[in-house]
Amino acid sequence: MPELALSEFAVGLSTRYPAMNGVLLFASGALVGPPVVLVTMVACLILLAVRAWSGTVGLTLDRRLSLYIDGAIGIFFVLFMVFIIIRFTSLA
Amino acid sequence: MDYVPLVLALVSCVLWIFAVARAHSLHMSSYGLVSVLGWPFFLGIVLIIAALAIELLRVGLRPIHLVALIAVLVVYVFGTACAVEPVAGLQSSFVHAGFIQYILVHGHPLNDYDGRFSWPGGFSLGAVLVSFTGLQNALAFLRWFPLVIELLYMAPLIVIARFSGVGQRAAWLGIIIYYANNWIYQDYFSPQALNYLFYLVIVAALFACWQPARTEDTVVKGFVRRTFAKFRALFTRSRLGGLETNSEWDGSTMLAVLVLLSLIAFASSMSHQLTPYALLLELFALLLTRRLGRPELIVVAFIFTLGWLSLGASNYWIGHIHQIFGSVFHLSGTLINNVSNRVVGSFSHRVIVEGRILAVIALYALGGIGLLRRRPDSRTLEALAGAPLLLLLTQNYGGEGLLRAVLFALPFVSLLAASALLPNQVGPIRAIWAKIPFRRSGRKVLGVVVALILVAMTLVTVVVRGGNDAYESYTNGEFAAVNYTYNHITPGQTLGVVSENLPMGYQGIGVFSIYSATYSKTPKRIGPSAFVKHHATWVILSQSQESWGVNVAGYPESWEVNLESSLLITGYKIVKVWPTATVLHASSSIVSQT
Repeated sequence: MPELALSEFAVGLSTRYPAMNGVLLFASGALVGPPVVLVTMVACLILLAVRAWSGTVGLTLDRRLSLYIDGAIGIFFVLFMVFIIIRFTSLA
Repeated sequence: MDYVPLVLALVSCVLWIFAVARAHSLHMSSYGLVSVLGWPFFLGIVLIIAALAIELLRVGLRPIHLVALIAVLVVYVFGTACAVEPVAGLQSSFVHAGFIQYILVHGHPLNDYDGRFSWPGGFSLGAVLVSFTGLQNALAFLRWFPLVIELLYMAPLIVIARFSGVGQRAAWLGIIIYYANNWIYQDYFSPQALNYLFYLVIVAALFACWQPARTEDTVVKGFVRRTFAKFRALFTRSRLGGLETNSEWDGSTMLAVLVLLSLIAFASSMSHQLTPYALLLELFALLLTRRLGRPELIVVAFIFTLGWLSLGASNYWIGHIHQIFGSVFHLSGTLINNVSNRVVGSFSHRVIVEGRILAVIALYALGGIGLLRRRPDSRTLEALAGAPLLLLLTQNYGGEGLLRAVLFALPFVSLLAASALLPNQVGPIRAIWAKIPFRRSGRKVLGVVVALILVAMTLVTVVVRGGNDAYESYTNGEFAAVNYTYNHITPGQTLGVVSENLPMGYQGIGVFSIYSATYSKTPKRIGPSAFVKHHATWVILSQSQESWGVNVAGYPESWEVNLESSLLITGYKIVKVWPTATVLHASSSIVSQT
């Protein structure tokens, strides 16, 4: 078997450098960026639009579905606020 | 009798034209605009108020007549300055024209130049309008903007008044009281004037869409327990879910209106720093008082507002976060900045400022009487009148927070004040103050009382609204001086002024600098060294700056003449003179220093 296939790079395991995935994912540098705030904002807006549309046209949603929508709105809203606070504290 | 109000209105229009034609803005004293308005103006006010009182208390109301009479009143209060003063007032309106000009030329705002530029929505709209009309710049819009925007406010105000539950006559009286008390002068060419229209339209649409559903009376004994039960009822799931409302609109209409209101909230979030937050407070007040059936609108508006602040306005708050959050819960500091620090300067200036404070107190006192006298179906007006004051807990807003909060509350306080005179007696909530019995001549007595109160309010507003015009309005000479300087100043040079009371800022954004000797603080004396030190190649001295120095800063009467002499001795040369302005240019010896 060629050496390359057996190399730590090919296998995906590194014994030389520590795993960086967690750091990269949760680095405030990534959370500070506009896309993160924008995505949570748009997600919230879409869910709110669905909720308002179903309420105004008289569409009766299943109770569980209503709870899921409200729960999702709550989660995305909290994430939106968290990312904004991180953005304020990191950049300001 | 049917035609008496219209005849009175016609005569008042003639008197207005006569008064405006005779007024000379150059003769303004330290009391501002009112000092150049003769007796025809004041007689005209009395006549139009008399017409309104007669029309308001006649047996059958005629809305079209009332609209026409109110429009005449609006012209009196907001159109007089536009007609008398040859150039638009307030330097900020020229700065806003400059922002529009920059966007028109470059296609984007200038980052890190001014905090207002981080909310460029209104300026972008202005650039579109300038382009659409084929003008070179936005200056043509400035002069008559206050009158136009105040007339535009009338439509949403009529809707708010009609659906406020105060009764027809009190509704119209509330609109009149609004205009008779709006001395606040935030209707100049500005994003806040446009956003105030957005604010009124949103509240008006929600008022028209939803009415409070009848709820069960709270059967609890004891005042404290009953009050606690009512307070707890505000935060039930059905209340916060908007379920305690009624609407006669069908679902598709409601949805379309909600979409439009969301778009307006979106536009507001990117065009003004303060209005979106006032709107959020009012939306929450509407929800708690059963006038908003879809709470999603509040969350949408909140997300837009905070989203823009976090993303679009990041140029502003990076490095200046203390300006946003620095005065949170510093109420005493906010009140000092908004009230005490403004009562300064000459006797006439203090009279104007104290007159404004007293006008607000009197209006709120009358509103308090209205709260006690009326029998409403909900306390929506009270909630909407009080909610904007919460802004003071979070923002000083450069010493203008209280002013803006009063403006946001003004339509609702006015309706409450109208209820003091013409209370509604048919709502489920009991009035606290018993009805005042009128005898046979009751209607006439009431008419006289209403007219007297309106005349007093209008006169005070005219006096205090134009009270700063001695230094906040400009002459043709001052405008020509600024124009001359703009035509000769080169990129990188600095224009020096004593105070920013000049029609400047409509050109040269980012090209040359403006140094104001009194920008950060007002020194006890102004000398030429300040201009030399700050490399001011050009200096403009003017009548409005002189008036500001005497009336606000407390400088002696001839301070500007002395300053001019000192500048000439230092090495500046006079390059152009008008009766109300002088342009000086640094000589070569000063230029080498600058």
